[in-house]
Amino acid sequence: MAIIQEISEYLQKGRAKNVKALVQQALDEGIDPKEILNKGLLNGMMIIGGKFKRNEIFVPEVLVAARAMNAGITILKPKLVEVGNEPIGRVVIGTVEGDLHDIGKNLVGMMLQGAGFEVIDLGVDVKPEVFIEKAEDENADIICMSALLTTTMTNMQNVIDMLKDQNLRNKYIIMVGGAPVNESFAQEIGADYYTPDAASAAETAKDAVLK
Amino acid sequence: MEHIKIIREFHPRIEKEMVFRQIQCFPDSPVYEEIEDTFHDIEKNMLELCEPAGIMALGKIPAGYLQQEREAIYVLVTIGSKLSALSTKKFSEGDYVQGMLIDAVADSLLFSLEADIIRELRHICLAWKKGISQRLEAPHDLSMHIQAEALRQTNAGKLLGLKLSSGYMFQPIKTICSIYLTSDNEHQFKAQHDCRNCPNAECLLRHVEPLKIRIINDKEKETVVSMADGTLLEAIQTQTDTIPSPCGGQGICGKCRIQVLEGYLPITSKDQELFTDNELADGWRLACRAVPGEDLTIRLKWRNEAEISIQTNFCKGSGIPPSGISSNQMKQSGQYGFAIDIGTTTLAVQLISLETGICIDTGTRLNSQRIHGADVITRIQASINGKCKEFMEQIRSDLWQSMEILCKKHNISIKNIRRIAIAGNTVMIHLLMGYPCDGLGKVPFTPYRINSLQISGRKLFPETDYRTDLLIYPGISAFVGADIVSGLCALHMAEEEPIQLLIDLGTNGEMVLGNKNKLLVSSTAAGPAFEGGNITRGTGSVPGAISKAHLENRSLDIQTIQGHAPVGICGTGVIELAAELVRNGEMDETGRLKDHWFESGFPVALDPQGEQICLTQKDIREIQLAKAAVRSGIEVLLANYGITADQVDLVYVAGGFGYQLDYEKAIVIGMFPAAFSEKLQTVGNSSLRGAAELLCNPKIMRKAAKTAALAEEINLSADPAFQEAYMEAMFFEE
Ligand code: B12
Ligand code: FES
Repeated sequence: MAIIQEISEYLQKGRAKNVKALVQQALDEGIDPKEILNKGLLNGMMIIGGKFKRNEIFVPEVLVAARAMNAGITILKPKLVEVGNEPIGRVVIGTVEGDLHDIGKNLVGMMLQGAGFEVIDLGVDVKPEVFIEKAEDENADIICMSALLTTTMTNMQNVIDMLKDQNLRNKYIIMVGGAPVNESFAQEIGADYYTPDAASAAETAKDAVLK
Repeated sequence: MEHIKIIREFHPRIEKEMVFRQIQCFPDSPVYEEIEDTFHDIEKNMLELCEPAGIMALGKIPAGYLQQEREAIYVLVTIGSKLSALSTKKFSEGDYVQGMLIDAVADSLLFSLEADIIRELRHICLAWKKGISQRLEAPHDLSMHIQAEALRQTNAGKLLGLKLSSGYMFQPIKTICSIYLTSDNEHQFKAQHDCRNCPNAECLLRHVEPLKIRIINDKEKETVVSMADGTLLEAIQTQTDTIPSPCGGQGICGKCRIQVLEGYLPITSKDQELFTDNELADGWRLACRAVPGEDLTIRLKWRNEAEISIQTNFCKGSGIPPSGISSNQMKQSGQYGFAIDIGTTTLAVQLISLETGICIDTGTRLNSQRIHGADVITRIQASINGKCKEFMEQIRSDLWQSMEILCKKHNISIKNIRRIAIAGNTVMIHLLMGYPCDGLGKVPFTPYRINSLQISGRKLFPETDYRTDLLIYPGISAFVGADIVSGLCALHMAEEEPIQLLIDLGTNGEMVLGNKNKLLVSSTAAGPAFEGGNITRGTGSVPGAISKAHLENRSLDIQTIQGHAPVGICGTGVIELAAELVRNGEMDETGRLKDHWFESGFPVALDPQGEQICLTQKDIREIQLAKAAVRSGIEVLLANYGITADQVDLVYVAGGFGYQLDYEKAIVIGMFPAAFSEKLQTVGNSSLRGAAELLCNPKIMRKAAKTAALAEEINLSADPAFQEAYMEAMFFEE
């Protein structure tokens, strides 16, 4: 459908106003909100994410596109609730205890949303028990932890250990990231996935829940 | 002694270039304009939400961190938590662009406080009698736990409300902790951050990657240099062509200009001061300021017009107004103002955004009155003889034209000009206001009016908006005017404990010595020799002027401005030559040339016509008088203050001429006391800077009035000690 294609294209160019208008128009035309979401908005974000991963575009283009996506979703949301649309998964995300760096976490949250997840942001300096409590409350599929300091990255381990103690470890997919984190550290502490950037974090998360 | 100091006075500023680099947004990005629009929308609000505060404390780094316990100064500086909170909010609302921009702007603001901190640190070191041998940061130099020591030893928890997370991070997050190892050498000051010492190779703000620079010189010859760090100028000069840099790479003379043909080279604030927007768009940059971030192709080529560079720069730590934004991004809304310095020869006018304090552009022009006389004395005479009204109209129209040009160029309506701040010497202010100059021309030299002025802009410039305020700094006396008070405010001289000396090396040679408790001023008739006047082959700072000299084993090496064929000797050249002649015994300390030079003068170079340029015995007498005037002025001020030269903590040299001066040579000929050697600092146009500060913050007028009232004038010609000091200062010896 041409209008859906247009939404995706305007989104990739970051034109929030056009995206909003077109989403409204599509709804007025009676197009299924799920289709507008998946084939218009989320499809556009997926293309942007791919380009970002391949270094074809930089952060600003992604930000502008994501802002346009958000503008579209705001209009779509009430309709999505009406038709009972379910996100592809739920994520709780936060920066670990003791650490206040938040930009990386925010970008990961943004891309996860662009991939169709519902994202619950716990903020920074998040205690291990809070990660677990919220994941339980929100019925999350994934726990995402970010750490930027070598002194705080070990707190990721605490969360995983605590989950194990409570016999909850296998209920959640655990993803970790941040500048000092790498693949081997992720394995060492028993996390499920590590990715170096936000775009691949979204892709990995999607693959993981669809598996 | 108090060993904890809270700092509240900051000049936070947003460096757009840094913000954009941090979010990786470059001008070739398809969304550049969109991001830029958002940036301008939020910019103003950001400064309001920025709540800078800092603290420094002299303390100890406990044993265990380094090999042994060390004394250190802990510094904490923060911009508060409002900006981070707003960034978080924007992210949660899905406005990722603003969220990200606000965070980057906050970082830029935080880093901009560094300049103020370094300046404070400098003063504190003087007060505490400490030097700085090294700057340390967690976690690469010391473990993160040191941040807990920093909090404890500065008492910043109580004094600034900072907290520490369990990961040893400060809250608010926009806080930086730096630690400076002290030394007993008061003159040591290694406090600057150096990217080369930082292991964070991926830092977006880092400047050290080795790059390939392809250079095409004026003869179309191509060479490639590689550079790992430093400036483009250094890379070019060490590896290939020579490129003129008469100001020594300070970004002042504009002679090291290069043109970028391929690749992106960030625009620095100096570039914005020296180039027009068109030139910037054509890729013109100063090599001495350029720190490339990617491979480039550049062209070496410099303009040859014989222009005297007019001083509009100022160097001292930092302060408002920084230059940051190039004009084509300016909107027609907002409030602007002009800062003006009226010099006897040149006028400098700066267009400044009142909301951000950012300097948008600077215009300079020659003072049209100068055709009626080069110095103030002839102007006073002409004014008394009926030129009063003509002078007044001339200067007002000069200034108005400069302001109109700047407004047009930046597409700003005159209606949006809300404030004008002016500094200038006493005679210039009299001429501007149309005051009678009679009192200025004769003993006891009384000005018609010397106090500050706050009037409607329409009084002088009828076409300005009715809301426009016009502020003029107060002066001190007939000889020490509003320009000096303005400079004192810019340098904060009358607010601080250390004893500082400001010397304006112009024809009038104004000097101010003191601190917040006592301030002595005077002016000394240095004459025009420093500007090349009254010297047989003297010249201004034009291309081809001999400005540097080195004599060794009877062979003389000279350097000219821009490397052109020698045309004459400028003030700096005269001083350097005199110093070299004494050092090599070609002239004795009384200033007498050796017999075989006595008649003809000392041969310096051949001009393009094949004529010998000589420094004559008469020239040496001129420079002798000028430097003796400066030195004796200094000595009499010191004596009246009751201190010796080594008790002065810092010496600022203002004026265009001071920029190229090799202080060591000036000391060799006895122009400055040897004790000043490590303390001399060039400040450029401090008067214009003071006007800009007043423009952005009219409350400074109170400070200015206090400063003017505190100042006590020493009349040198009436002081018997002066004659004696003057005779003694005639000798060419340290
Ligand atoms: C910006 C910054 C700051 C800002 C804070 C900005 C903010 N709101 O977060 C400021 C200037 C305040 C700051 C301060 C400090 N910082 Co800092 N900071 C950085 C810097 C330069 C960039 C971080 C950032 O925002 N990057 C941009 C984002 C987009 O990238 P990212 O965070 O890496 O996230 C990406 C990926 O890692 C990944 N990712 C991130 N999280 C997650 C999570 C999951 C689940 C997944 C899958 C992926 C993922 O995806 C993201 C998007 O692509 C880093 C250096 C660096 N290159 O990382 C240092 C750095 C993190 N800081 C460091 C330090 C030491 C400090 C200070 C202690 C310095 C000091 N001496 O004062 C202070 C502490 C301040 C305090 N309050 O006490 C060190 C940590 C060193 C270490 N090994 O422990 C670093 C690494 C710099 C360094 N090498 O020195 N900092
Ligand atoms: S050397 Fe760059 S401007 Fe003087």
